[in-house]
Amino acid sequence: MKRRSEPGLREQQLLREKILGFGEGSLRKSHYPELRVRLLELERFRFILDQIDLGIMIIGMNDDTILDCNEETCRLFGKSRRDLVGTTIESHLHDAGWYSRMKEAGGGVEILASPHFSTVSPRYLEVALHQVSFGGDAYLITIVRDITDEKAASDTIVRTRDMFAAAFRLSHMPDASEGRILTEALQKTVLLTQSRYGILGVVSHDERFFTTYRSDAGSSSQSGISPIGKNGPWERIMVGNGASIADEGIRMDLPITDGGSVVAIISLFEKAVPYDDLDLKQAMYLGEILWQVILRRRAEDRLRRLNAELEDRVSRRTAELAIANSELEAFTYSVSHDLRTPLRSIDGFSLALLEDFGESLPAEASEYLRRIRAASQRMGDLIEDLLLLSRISRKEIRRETFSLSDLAAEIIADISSSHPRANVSVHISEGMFVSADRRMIRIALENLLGNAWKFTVGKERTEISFDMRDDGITPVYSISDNGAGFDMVYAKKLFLPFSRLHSNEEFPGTGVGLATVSRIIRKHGGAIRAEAAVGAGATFYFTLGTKNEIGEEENHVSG
Amino acid sequence: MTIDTLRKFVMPEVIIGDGARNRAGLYLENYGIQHLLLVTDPGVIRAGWVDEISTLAEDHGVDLTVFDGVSENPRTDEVHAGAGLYHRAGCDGILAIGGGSPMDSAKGISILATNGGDIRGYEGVDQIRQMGPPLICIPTTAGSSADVSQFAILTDQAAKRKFAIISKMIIPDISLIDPALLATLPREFVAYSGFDALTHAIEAYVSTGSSPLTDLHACEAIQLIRTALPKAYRSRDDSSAALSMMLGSLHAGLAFSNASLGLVHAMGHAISGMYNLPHGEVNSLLLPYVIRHNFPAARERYNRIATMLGLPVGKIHENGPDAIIDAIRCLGEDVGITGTLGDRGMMSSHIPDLASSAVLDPCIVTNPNIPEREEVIALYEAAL
Repeated sequence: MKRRSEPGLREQQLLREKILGFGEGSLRKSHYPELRVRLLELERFRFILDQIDLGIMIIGMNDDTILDCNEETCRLFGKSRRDLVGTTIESHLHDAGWYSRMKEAGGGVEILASPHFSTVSPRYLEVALHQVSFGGDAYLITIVRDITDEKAASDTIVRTRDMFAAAFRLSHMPDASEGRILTEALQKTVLLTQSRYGILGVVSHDERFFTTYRSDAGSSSQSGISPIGKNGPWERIMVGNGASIADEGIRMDLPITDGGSVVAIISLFEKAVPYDDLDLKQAMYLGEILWQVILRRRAEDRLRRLNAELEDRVSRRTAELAIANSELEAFTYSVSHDLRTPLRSIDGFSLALLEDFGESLPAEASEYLRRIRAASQRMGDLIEDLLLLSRISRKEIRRETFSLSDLAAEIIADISSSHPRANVSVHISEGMFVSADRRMIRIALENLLGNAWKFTVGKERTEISFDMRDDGITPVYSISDNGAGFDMVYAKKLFLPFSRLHSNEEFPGTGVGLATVSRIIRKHGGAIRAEAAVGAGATFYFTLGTKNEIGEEENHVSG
Repeated sequence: MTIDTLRKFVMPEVIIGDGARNRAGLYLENYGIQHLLLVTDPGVIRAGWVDEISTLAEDHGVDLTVFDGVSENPRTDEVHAGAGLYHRAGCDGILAIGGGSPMDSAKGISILATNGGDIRGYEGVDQIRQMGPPLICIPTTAGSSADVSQFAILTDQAAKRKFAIISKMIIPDISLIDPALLATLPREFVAYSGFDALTHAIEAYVSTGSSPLTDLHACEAIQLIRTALPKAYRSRDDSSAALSMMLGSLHAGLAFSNASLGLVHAMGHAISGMYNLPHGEVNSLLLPYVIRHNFPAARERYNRIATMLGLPVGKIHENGPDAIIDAIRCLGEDVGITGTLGDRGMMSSHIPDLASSAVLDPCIVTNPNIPEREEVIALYEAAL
C-alpha cells in the first residue's frame, strides 16, 4: 500500500475524523444552546412586559379570544392570567362598545371614563387598539394605560385655575350690588363643581329666615325668603353639622361661617358623577371668598357713608370757623386800630397837662400823670403787637432761600446797638440756609433773640448761641441763653398770647411775642418748644418743616 | 484522540412503508411550519406526487411554494435560486420530494437559509455552523439515500466540477420512505439508483471508517439489493421488491453516511462533474476497476461481499477479485447496464484533469487503498 507524503497524510487524517463525525460542527450539533438563548430572550421580554405599567393584550382577530396578556392587564381586570387567557375579551367587559368600535375602525385610541374593566379598576383608562399580523394570522393588540392619577392631576389644575379666576372675578365687581355678587358666586360655584344647579341661602341678622338665590333662575338674581325653623338639611348645618355630601353624592351642602356662626349656606345638586372632596374644598373656598367679599363690601359701604358724613361735618365746621375767624380778626383789627386814637389823646393830653400846668400841679398829681402816660404807652405797644399778630395770621407765606446765620447776626447787631451791654458772647453757627418767608422769620428771630438778650440782663456775662442739628430729614434749630429761664410747669402757657411768666417790672413785654413766633413757625409747617429751668437759662427749639415738604413746595412754586 | 477506535452513528427519524408519505402533514405540524418550500423536479410533478403533498399542506393550513428548478445533477445556481425563493416567499421549512437531485438541492437551500452566503463556501467537510430549517425528505428513488445521509453533491457549472458538502448538520430531520413512489420511476433509473445504493454499501463496508454498526447496515443492504434489484427492474408493480429496494437503499445510506465512501465515489464525482451522466450508472461502470485496485488492501471484506453476492466459497478464493467483479458485471447486465465509460462519452484527454479532481475528493480518505494520481489515471484509462 502506497502512502502519500506526511503532511498530506495528516490532512487526510483530519478530513477522515471530520467525515466520521468528529469535526467541531458535528460534535456541537445541537438546537438546544440556540433554543436556550431564544428562551432567555423570551423570558427577558416577558419580564419587561410584566414590569411596565401598560396593560397589553393580544387578542385573536377572528374569535376575540385573549391569547396573551401581561401582569398590568391582570391588575386592571383584577383577574389572573389563567382566568383571562383563552376567554373572550367581551366576557370581561361591562361595555364592549369601545372594543367593537375600534376593531371595526381597524384601530384607534379612546379614553374610557367609567369602569369598563373590573370593578377594582380605575375610572380613567386610555385604550389603544392596533391590528397586527404575524405567522399568517391577524391579531388585535390592545394597550391600556391607567391615566386616573394623571387625569385627576390635570383636572385639579384646571379646576383650581378656574376657582382662582372665579375668586378674582368675585373680588373685582366694584359696582355690583350684593345680590348680584351672591348670584354670580353661586353660578360660579355651580360651574366649578359641574353641578346642575345650586341654591344659596343667606341668614338674616335676626336668624329668622334665609334670603335664597337659585343658580338656574336665569340671569336676573331672583331671590326668595325661606323661614328658618323647619327641620331641613339647612337647619342641620345651622346647628353646626358642617359640610356634607349627601344622597349618594348627588347633593352637597356647605356652610359659610363668620366667627363661628353660620352666615350662609350653599347647596349644590346633581353633578354627573358623585361629588368628591375636591368639589367640597373648592366650593368651601369660593364660599369663604364670597363672604370676605361681602364683608369687605359692607365695611366699605359703612366707611364710605362715614367719610361722607365726616366731610360734610368738617366743611360745615370749617365754614363756621372761617366766619368766626374773620369776625374775630376784623374785631381785633378794628379794636386795635380804633383804640389807638383815644389812647394817643390820653397820652397827648397827659403830656400837655404836665408841660402846661406841671408847676402848678402838686408833685403827687404830676406823678399820676406820668403813670397814666407810661400805662397808655404800654397799651400802645400792646396794640402794635396785637396788630402784628393779626396781620401774620392773615398773611400767606412766601418762601425764599436765605442765610439764617446772616439774618441772626444782623438782628444781634441791631439789638446790641440799641441796648448795649458789656461782656457778651454770641455764637451763631455758620451756613444755616433756609427756604422760608424772610420777613416773618425776621420777626420770629427778633422775638427769640430779643428775649434771650432781655432775660440775660443782670447776668455777669451774656451767653447766647444759635445752632442747628440736622438729622437729614428735618433740621432742628436752637436758640439758647444763660438767662433767667423759667419753670417748665408753665411751658404750655408760653406760646399763648398775653401770658407772661415774669412781671413787667422784672422783664418788660407785652406777652404777645412768643404767640407770634409760634404762629410764624406753624405757618411754615414747623413746630416750636422750649426747655428751661429757673435761673439756668432757656433753649428754644424750632423747625421749619421737613426738607421734603420744603423741596416739594419749592418745586411746586417754581413749577 | 483515538480516531481508529471511536465511531459515531447519526441518522434521521425514519418512517418506512406503504403510505409513509402521507405522514408529511403531521411533521409539518410538529415542526411548526407555516410556509413550506417544496423542492422537487418536473418529473416528480408529472408523476402527481407534488399535488398530493400540496393537498396535505393545505389541509394543515400550511402555505406552499414549489421550487422545481432542479437538474439531474443539481447546480449551485439552482441552489441560489431556491434559497432566494425561500427568503422571498417567507418560508420556514423545506420538504424535498424526488431523487438525490432535489434532496441535495434542498440541503443546499437549507444551508443558505440560515448561514447565508455562496453555497460554494461550504464545500468540504464540517464547514457549516448553523443548523438549517426543518427538512423533510420523501425519496422517489432507491439509491441516492440523500434522505438519510450527511452528503450533498452539487455541480459548479462554471468550473465544470462536482463538489461534496459533508456535514452532520445537513442530515434531514425526517425521511418518509414510501415504496409506492418507486412505481413511477423510469426503469433505467431503477437500475442506476439501485447500483448507486449497491456501490454505497460496498464502499461503506470496505471503508476504513467502517464500524460494526455500519457493517450491519452495509451487509443487509448488499443482500437485499442483490436479490431485489433485478425483480424491481423487471416489474415495477412488484411492491415487495420495491420495499426491499427502499430498505436496501436505506441500509446502504445509513452505512455510507456514517462510514463514508471510497475511490468509486471520488472518481465518479469527477466524471459526473464533467459529463452530465447519471451518478449510479457511472458508479456501476467504475466499481469493478476500483475493486481490483482495493482488493489487496481489503481482501477479507471483499471476499465476504462476494459471499453476500451469492458466490460459492470455492470460487471466491480461486478467482480473487475477478469472482466479485464478474458477479457485479452479471448483476449490471441483468438490469441493462453494459459497456464502458468511453461508450458514455468520456474522453481520454480529460483523464488527467479527472484524476486531479478525484484525488482531492473527500471520499478518497476512507478508501482502503489510497491511490496516487497516476494510479487514478490508470484506473480511468482502464475504465475508458
